[in-house]
Amino acid sequence: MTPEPRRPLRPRAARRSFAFVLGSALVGTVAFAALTAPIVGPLFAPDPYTQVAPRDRTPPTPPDREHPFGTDAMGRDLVSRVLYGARLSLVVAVGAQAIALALGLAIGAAAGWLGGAADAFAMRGADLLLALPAPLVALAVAAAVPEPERAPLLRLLPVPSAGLVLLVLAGLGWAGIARLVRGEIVRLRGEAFTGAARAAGAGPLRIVGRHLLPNALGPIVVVATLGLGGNILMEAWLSFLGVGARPPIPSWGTMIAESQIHFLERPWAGLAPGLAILMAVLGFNLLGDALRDRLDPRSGSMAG
Amino acid sequence: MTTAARRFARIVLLGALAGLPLLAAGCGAREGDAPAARQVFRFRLREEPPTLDPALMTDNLSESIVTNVNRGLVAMDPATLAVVPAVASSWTVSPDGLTYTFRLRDNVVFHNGRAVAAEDVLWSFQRLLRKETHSPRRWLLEPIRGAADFAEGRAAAVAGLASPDPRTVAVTLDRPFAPFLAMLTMAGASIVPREVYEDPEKKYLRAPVGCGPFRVVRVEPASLIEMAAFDRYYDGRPAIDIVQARIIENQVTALQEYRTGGLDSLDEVPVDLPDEVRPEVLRYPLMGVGYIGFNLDRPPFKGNAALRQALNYAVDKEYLWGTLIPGANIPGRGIIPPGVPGYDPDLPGYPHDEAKARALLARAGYPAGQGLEPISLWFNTSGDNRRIAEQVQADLRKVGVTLTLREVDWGAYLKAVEGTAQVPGEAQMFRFGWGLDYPDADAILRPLLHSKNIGPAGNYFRYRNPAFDDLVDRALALGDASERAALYRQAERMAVMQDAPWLFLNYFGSMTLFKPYVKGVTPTPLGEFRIPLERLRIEKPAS
Repeated sequence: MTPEPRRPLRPRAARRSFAFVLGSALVGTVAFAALTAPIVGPLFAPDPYTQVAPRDRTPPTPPDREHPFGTDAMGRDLVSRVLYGARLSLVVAVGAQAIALALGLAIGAAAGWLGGAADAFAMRGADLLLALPAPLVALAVAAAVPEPERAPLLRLLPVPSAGLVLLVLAGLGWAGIARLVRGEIVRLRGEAFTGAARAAGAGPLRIVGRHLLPNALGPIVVVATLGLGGNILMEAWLSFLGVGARPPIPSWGTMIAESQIHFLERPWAGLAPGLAILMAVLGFNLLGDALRDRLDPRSGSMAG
Repeated sequence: MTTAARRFARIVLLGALAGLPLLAAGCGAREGDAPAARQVFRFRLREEPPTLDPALMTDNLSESIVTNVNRGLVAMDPATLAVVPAVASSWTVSPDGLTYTFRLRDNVVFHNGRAVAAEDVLWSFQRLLRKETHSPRRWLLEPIRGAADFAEGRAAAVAGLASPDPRTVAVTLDRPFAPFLAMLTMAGASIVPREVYEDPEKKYLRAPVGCGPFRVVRVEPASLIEMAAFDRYYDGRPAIDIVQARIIENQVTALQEYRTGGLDSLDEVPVDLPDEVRPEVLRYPLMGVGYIGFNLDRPPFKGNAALRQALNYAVDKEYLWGTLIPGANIPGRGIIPPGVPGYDPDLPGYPHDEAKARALLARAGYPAGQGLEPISLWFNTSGDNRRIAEQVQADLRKVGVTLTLREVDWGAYLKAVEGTAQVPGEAQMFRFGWGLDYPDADAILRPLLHSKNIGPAGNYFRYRNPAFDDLVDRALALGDASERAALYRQAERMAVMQDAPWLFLNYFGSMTLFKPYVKGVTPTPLGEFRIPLERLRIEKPAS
């Protein structure tokens, strides 16, 4: 084998910022789409539920000037559905992550600061959750509520089926964050500045809240960002399998599932939501990696 | 040579070396075999058949196996729909229309090698009637005198069943019953061997034994059911040696299998067909109807005919079958499908009319859908069901009615839909279809809508209308075909236009793919899975 001359590597900083810029751009695009769906969507179709394909043409109809992404198997405009899909996807992913973050911070900080039995109890709980294959647990729990629209409490949410997914993802997501937070707190608890704060008369809440958590924020932000991509993927996957957002709610996963029977002859119906998922997940992953490089000085260049 | 090319060459060489012994073995086997290749026919089942017991089967997945393994006294010709001899070679009917005397063939043999005698007919009929069998098809034999007494355990034998000699069976009815012979062609009335079906461990569920043209040789759960030609079939050994029913749930996977040669036939054909298989589509009308059933014992449909009519008007059947899912289906207006005596070409049905739907919805107590909780529409994972459900959901949304969709597998679906004779099933609305077992309006009006069949026997809608029951019962006793048809039309109008126990969707048609080398295909209105396999041949061009 003749070794080829290796290309000189570009400076690490440049690669980092490239990932950051691309990641932010992708996430920004998806977020913009989600925010403006009620404004941009109506330019293409009155809503994501109304059939707009001509009544004499078998949907999915191919992309044209009126419907740049074409229509889906039910004759609904795909631009509108992908935009509203972004809304659903982001709300579920961010909402779930926010709850997971709140739970993880509280449980992790308490466990790390208190130590002893409380620590052991919380961390064995987290271990238990992490040991289970998350996708299968999510699938089992989501499938156990076959009709969220008619389930008690869930039915009060604006979109019960998506609300269920949000809660499931939140319930699974806190464990990793709690473990990370707990580790940081245990590490920082032994630092000199903690002792100084304590000597100055600060109470435990103040020490943890004002001194320890801010110092642990870097890795937490990174993990939370990376988790968003995972949440988006999981929501799409659950919907694809029919236990996530229910028809006719526009979810990228459902849209791909519905396009399946046409995917050989009329691929556009699955292409648009597929690319949307790619953009969103890639965006959050790049952003998370870039943030890791910036905020987490301990990790090397080997992201992942 | 570049590195990549060299590596590629190495892989190819390795692959070839690994393949050589296999190739050699393959050649050897071919030389040793008989000159004629075995004829194998492979078709697709979308799911595992719920049962292989003829007494318990009610669905077309089970039918695909059961009707090839079993035979009854008489059979229905799949093309002409005439009743033809099967285990019985001939029969006579007494002038009063009460006694049927069947003469059995002397060459009918069960797959276990034992000859079929009159005693087997009696036992098989008793088994179907017996309460412990829990057969949803007991009604097939209920016209026989003393059947009810036997079923309830009040009599040790069925009064109307006798065998004067080992090759003769005499069946006496309570009263003349026009479709009796046609009903005997159904799988429930199959002749089965006592020594196999008395097994308390029920091994026959996985290894059924009958006297039909094919015998089951292999059952692999959720994957494959294999049948082999039965050498001693009374009508001559079938040309096909092996039939494989491959269970492939996903429609896309199934189509790919068909395209790449893993299947010789495919019953569910997607709308978007690749050009190369388009000429292989066989279209033919089926004797059946598709509909969405309302559960009349559960709110909101209980006692609210206006609501049921409103939903009927709200759905655009023309768009559904004309544009959205164009294929072999015809927009439906009622219950009795075209081709069946009693079919009513003038039945108005419920043409799409949103204004009427809104008005009826208001009259039903839910103006613009206000006050109406989301209604769940159940359907099983199959073919176009999901798109049908979504279209109905979209149409109803326009008039203010919210549907939630419940997509489940066939077993869970039946459980939610059937209920018991006393307790209604869980499903409020459910997508269903019914293929007629023989061309007689009684074969749909009675099992599905007669109040005697509420629950698993077929009336899942729990429709009770004494006037309707009376019309259907009276028609049964009539000998004159046109008088009967008139009564059936009257009954249908009553159910459709007044009570609307269903959302009427379509009359059936079928699109089935067959490879060009499959010969002897007899399209039949009885259903995709009733195409007689014993008439098929494989004629592959010599390669």
